[in-house]
Amino acid sequence: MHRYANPTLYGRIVDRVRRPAALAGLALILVGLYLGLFVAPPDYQQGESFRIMYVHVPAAWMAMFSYAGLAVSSAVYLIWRHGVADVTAKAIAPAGAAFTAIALVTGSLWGQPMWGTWWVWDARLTSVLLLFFLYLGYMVLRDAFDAPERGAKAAAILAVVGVVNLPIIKFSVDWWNTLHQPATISKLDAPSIHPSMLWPLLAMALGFTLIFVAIVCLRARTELLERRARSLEMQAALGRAE
Amino acid sequence: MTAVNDLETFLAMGGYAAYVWPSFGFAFVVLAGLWLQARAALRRAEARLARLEALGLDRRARRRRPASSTPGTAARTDGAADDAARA
Repeated sequence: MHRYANPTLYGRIVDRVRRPAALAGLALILVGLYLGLFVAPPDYQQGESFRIMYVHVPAAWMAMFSYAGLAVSSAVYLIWRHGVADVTAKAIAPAGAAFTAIALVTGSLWGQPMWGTWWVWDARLTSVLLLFFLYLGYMVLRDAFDAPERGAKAAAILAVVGVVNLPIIKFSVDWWNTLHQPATISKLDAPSIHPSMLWPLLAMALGFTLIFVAIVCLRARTELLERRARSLEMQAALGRAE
Repeated sequence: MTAVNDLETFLAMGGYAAYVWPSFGFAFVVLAGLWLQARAALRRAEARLARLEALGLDRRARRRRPASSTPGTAARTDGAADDAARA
């Protein structure tokens, strides 16, 4: 475990993973778009509008997956004080916010023709909006302190506390009478969705995941360089003070 | 049924064009923006570090290979600086 807390090794891993993940993610998204837009038949109830699912559902999954990553990284940072966990958390936050924004906007664009409204304050929509604000809050809190470590710690605590929102999002459609439809894929043994519609969804989901990984690697590398630059600036300041 | 008609039918999305295409467009714009912003931030960090290392503050830091600035190629960053930091 402590081997992976080594910034050098961590840096090597993110540098090695970044490009293959980006290219594979892009390829999968292109395959998913082709299958989802040209091959999958129109839905018997929702007609062609159901194709919004191919960006909406993977984005919503990623919004929650990213937050789980943010919360776990933050917890590891708080408990073991591993700098690389903080680097990872900082790298995840903007990507998670972006996926959440996509889920919210595409959901709204789907809601208008299907439900007749852009937005409704039901449990699912409200809890996902809260998720978006948690990401924004995390990013704002990081920068709200003069000492970077203090910001990192405060934001990590927020991320860990906010994890209670994840089960609320997941089960909101079962616990409350929501307008939002239940899970598209509930049972893997007998999915309620035809294979021709399922494959593009899985391709898009995996593609989004790989793009997310590539972006986190990119941001993590950036953060490692920034930290190195900060320590050199400290050295320079000390040198001048002598 | 000509090819143009086929295309028009496809683009019309059964009357849902105004909802389907903005959804795909928004997702594309956000993800592309996220990627480009992250790349730009990496370039800035590399430039900042290169300037600092050029000051010769850290003699243990081996010369980093200059980042390739060709579009479409990811800059190669080796762990030299980190190695040096831990040395």
